[in-house]
Amino acid sequence: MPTTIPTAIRYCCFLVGDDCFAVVADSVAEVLHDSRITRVPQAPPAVLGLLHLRGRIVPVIDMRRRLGFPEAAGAVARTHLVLRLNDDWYSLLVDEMLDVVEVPEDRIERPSLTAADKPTDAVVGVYADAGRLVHFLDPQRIVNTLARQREQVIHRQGASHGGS
Amino acid sequence: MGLLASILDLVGELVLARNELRSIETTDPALEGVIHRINNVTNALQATAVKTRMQPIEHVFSKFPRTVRDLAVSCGREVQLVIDGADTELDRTLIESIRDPLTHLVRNAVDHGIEPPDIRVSRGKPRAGRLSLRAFHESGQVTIEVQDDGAGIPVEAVRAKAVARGLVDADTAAQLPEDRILQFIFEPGFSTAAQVTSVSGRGVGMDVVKTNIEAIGGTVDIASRAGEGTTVRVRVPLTLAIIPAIVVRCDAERFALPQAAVGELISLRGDGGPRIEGLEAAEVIRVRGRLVPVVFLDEFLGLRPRTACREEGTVVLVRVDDHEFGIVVDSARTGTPADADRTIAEAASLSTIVVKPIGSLLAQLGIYSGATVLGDGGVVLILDLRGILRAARLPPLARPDDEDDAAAERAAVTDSYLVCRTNSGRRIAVPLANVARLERFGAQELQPVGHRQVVRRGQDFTPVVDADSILGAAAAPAAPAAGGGTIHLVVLDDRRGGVGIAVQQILDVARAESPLQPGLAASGVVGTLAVGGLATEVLDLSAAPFPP
Repeated sequence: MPTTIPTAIRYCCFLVGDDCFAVVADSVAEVLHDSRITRVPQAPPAVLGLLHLRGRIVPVIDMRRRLGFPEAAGAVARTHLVLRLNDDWYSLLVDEMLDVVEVPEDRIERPSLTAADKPTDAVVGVYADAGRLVHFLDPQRIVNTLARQREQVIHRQGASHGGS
Repeated sequence: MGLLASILDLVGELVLARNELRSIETTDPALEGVIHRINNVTNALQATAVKTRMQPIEHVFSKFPRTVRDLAVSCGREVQLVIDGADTELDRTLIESIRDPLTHLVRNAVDHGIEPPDIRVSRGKPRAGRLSLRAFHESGQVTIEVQDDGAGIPVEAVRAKAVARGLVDADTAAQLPEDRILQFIFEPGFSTAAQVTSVSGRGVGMDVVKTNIEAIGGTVDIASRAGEGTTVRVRVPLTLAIIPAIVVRCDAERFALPQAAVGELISLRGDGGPRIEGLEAAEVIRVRGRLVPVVFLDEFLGLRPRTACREEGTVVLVRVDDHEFGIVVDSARTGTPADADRTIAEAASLSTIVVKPIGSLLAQLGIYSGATVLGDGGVVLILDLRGILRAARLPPLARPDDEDDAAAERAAVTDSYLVCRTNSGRRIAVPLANVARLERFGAQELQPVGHRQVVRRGQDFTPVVDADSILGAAAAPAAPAAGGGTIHLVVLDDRRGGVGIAVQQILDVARAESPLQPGLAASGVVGTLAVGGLATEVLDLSAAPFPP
């Protein structure tokens, strides 16, 4: 019987707060620094706004907010991880890009998925490596939960029904 | 196909770069000349590129003869299909989006519209039903008509179904005119087909048709005559990608609106010129004699509290489908440093923007139809006017084109009314055409003068009459019982003596949905009609100025 070599997939690791996270490297189209973000009124709180990347308009997701971390103290230079999910593009705003690692599938522990209303619902696996714990994120789950949030109910002016 | 898509993308980029170039100030004649030439070539290239995206609607129509033939056989109908305007062109991406909705409409016509041959003959019609598919260009849009000469939509069945589903109460339903009843067909899950046939599937179709057409910026209308047939009219924009736009500024943010929807810019200066009137339920601006509802963009988007630009700013009048409304912003630029008072027709040029998608996550907010990059590199969101109209739930007011409509019956249906609640809790309507303005003041400002009560504004005295006393309600207080409350005043025009009618609350501004029924007249009431979905008494103003 041929020995099966466990598939190893490349992941981009990055820092949000003090924790290490990772997404499949193939989904990362680009890494940017300090890009100008245009606000989108009424967008979910974790969506900081839009950036312009060579003719493409890309929504920016603040990963500190999305994962439930407190706001960064002081002005912190942050990094954009631009992801491509099918035809949709998103930029994940993280604290620092780390490295690219190759992790065999069978080394990733898959805890039971957290309920969708928790900030960490996008974490689909963990991996202990060289003294750090890497949390693997599913980009689609990052986005799906946001789709269900509304920052503010848009209501007719003056007629507030308790929304917002 | 991939090559063409690349070329079109590049043309889009060129348009953006050209915009940037145009915003550069220079006095160098050589540079000016080059910029001018690049501008001309880009315009021509853009126009040509747009044409390459266009495809004849034949691509959708071509399958229908077969579809109709098969359908007719399986339903036991005889159908004659007539196609007109197959060479009408529209954007290739839109063609795909209308394929399914059109197919559904065609199936509906054969399955539910056209009667079986024997029944047709017994009604004096030809055995074969006539199904006509017509496409043509009309004012910047493509119109597609699906018309059959079948039995028409059973209006009474729709009426009954609407009541049964709780969409409207029985009394109001009885008064609604036919074209209003037909709108219920677009409600989800609405089907009056006695049997769900396997051909057309469940009656879930019409709401899906409407949603799909509206998603690409189009509209669907339906008209029907009992025994004669049904016509469904679908309108879609010619193309989406590159459009002329107006950029507006609101609280340091910029937004773009499609120029095609904008009619006029009105400058608010608080100096006696046009101003925003109304309170609470409806803010309006008076434009050449008609009242148009307005939305404060800063409040709508949550940028800042509304009061900031109440007296100053610019109102952008827009038209979406048959609705006209105003969006209040800080300032609006049409591409040239033009006086904000000028109408769009006078503006020399407009920004041409390339519409870029913002992704499904933000598109589903429903208020932005995309984004663009301006000449200075800034990203600007494009407002989805239809989405804003929906979210702001503005009332429809008189259509701009109705000003010279003389037919009294039609006027009764298209007139708009101010709906109020009197101090005794009664719901009444006042014809908006008779209203000069709305005011609000504290009960303590009411002063008795002789037998009457007045409220004083500077040198002017406005006589106040309580709505309930017009209605003949006994012991109606001219002010809320707990003195010190707020009085809302509907001030009538000069022909009616400028009298103010005191009400407890102004509920809404809405268009009449049915003709006036005088049969239910009572003291002080001209009749009843359906407004805002409810049967409402219309106040009799003929005795104004009212006796004390």
